[in-house]
Amino acid sequence: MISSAALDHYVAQVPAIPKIVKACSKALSEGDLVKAADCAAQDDALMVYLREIVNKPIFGFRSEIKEARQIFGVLGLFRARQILYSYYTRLLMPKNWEVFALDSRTFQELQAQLIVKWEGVMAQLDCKNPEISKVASIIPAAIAACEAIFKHDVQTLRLLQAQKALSYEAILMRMTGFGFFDLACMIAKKWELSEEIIQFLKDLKTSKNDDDRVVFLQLLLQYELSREVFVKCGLNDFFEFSTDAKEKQIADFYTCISKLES
Amino acid sequence: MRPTLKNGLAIFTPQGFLDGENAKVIIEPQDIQFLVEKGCEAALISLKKVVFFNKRGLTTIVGLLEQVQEKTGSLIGFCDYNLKKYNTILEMYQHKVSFSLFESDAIAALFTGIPLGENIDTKKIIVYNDNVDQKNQLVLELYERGYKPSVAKSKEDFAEQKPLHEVAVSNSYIGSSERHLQVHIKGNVIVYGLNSFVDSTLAEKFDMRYHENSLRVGFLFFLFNAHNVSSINVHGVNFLSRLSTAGAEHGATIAVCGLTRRSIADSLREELEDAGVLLYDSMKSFFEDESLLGEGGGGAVTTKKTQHITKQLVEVLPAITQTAMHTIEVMMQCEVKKEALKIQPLTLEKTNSMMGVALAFFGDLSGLLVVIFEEESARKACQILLEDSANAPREELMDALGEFVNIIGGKFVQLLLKKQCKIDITMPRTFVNVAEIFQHKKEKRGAQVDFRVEGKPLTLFLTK
Repeated sequence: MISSAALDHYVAQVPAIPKIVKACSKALSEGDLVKAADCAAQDDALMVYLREIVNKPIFGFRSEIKEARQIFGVLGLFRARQILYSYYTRLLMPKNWEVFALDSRTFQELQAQLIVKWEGVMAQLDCKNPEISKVASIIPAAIAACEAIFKHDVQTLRLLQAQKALSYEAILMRMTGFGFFDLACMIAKKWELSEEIIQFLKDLKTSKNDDDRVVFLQLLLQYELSREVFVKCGLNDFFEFSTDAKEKQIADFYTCISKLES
Repeated sequence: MRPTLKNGLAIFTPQGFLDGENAKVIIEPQDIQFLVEKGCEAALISLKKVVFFNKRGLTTIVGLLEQVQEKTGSLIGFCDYNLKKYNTILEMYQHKVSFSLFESDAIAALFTGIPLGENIDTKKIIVYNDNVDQKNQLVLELYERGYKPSVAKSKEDFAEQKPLHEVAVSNSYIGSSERHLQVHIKGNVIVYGLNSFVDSTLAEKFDMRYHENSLRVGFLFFLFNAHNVSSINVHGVNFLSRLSTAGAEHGATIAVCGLTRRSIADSLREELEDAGVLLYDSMKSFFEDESLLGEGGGGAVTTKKTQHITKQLVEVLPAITQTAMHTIEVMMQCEVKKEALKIQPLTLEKTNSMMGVALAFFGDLSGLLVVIFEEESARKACQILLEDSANAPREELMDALGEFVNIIGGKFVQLLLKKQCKIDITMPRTFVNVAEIFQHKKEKRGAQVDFRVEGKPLTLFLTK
């Protein structure tokens, strides 16, 4: 049953960040790529993930990258931080997806698209804040969380949607009082992420349109979840999308994203 | 993307960006098949949650809507947009659009499906459009559907009068399309509108599935308004006669009003009368015929042949009880206790706060399911379906309760499908009080399951 108690129960069960990954993260925050790579090399699961995601076409590397130092070297600090955070999300990924027609490959595809495009959008906005860069990597965690929370009542959910065109987020809000970004905040707190990241996740929930970074990340999410592959997965029915962006912001975003995709 | 389908109106609600790349997956072949099976009357794309769209995206989606139109004969277009989106669409198509535009889903519902509500002719609607042809079309369409809209003379007049009306139709546009026969409900009587020449095309335009479903959920009076008919020939008369004969099995009455000596030959008039079709000079005289409609204002005739619960229905009773209990528990977030199961005519406490929903199912198995709630439980059950269920007007609550029971019905359909039993369900028919429920179901014996939800009674009644 979807309830605030079920939500609390889920968040309580969110696994803590492994020590090695924390050490890797600390090394990255100190700007030490070699130390970060050496830490990462000690965790087999992390290495498998890094190899899988780094060799996705969107990163544009011509030959396969295998070694930890090689991976961190080609990624650079900015992307390495983002990808490490997206690994956190991987910890929540279910074995079998029931609510959304996703699989690990497609989910990683979403993570990769968000990481690379958010980097491009941030460059366009001239934003160099490393904490803000990590937010796009954390967001998919809440999708995995919703999958776990909703999966017990899939049939009722589907019929509800067929009746009322309610997004998953609207259903979550009505049944628990919490929205998608609230859930993302809860997970971020559990992982002891910085206050700046948590505040930015809270801002994403609002419809204030005076901060281009917030609006552009909202638009990026909407843009990505409108892609054919994610519409088919059911992710387009996920958010209660905000449409409070100003026309100029939407036009600027579309120009920016078109450039990134060309 | 599966659309919502309510009263023949299907709405697809894409979110975010709509361009040439993703527009093609908004309506997929299985969605078109679903709409064909369900007999949709209109298919619209809601632009409420669409942040951005371009011409390529729109052209792609219009192409898909045209496929829906080709297969179902339904009205197609867009709804839920602001003035900017409305103007953008019209400019993209140089103000020559073949599809319809409705500024909200509530306005779209005025133009599609069976008009809902008790007295639709008293609903205060004001219409204005800069394009005079469109303004006339919008008004005409509403009139044909039984509404009595006011027409604003100018933009200023519209702005002034808007606050005095329940619905203001302005940035809407009727595209050209073939439609089903006009139909609306007045005081539990289903009124079909006939126009110009009534001939063999009546059978093609008549939505028989809709009619049969209406019979199943308890509608017993069907009035054909022939005021705008210039003439009716033998094929039209034969169709109405057949309808009357078939309806007699359910105790239904077919009536025609507004036929004149010019519009029907005497011999054909007699043929209609012989088939049991009641003829009235006007709609007013029909609704004033208390001997026919009874004090309840329609729907009071008892079915000639009362059918009771069958063995097949008793066999599926545990499944339907379980489905209903689970759905109620999920939606109300509380425990449901089963108190009693009896085979008997429906027996209820007659309190003012009880309300019900009937839903018929047909196919490999046919039957009727009635669910009766205390108002307080109904409000709680609909908390997800309504913005503010505690304070929602009763009319909205009834509407949501219908949707809630539809969810139970939908689950039941899926459950039986797993057992290789294919059934379909009708539109839910809501009853605002116990007296209204008894008016229809008092003689039928069925399986009555009494539940208790947070101390309040909740009854499920299954019969043939």
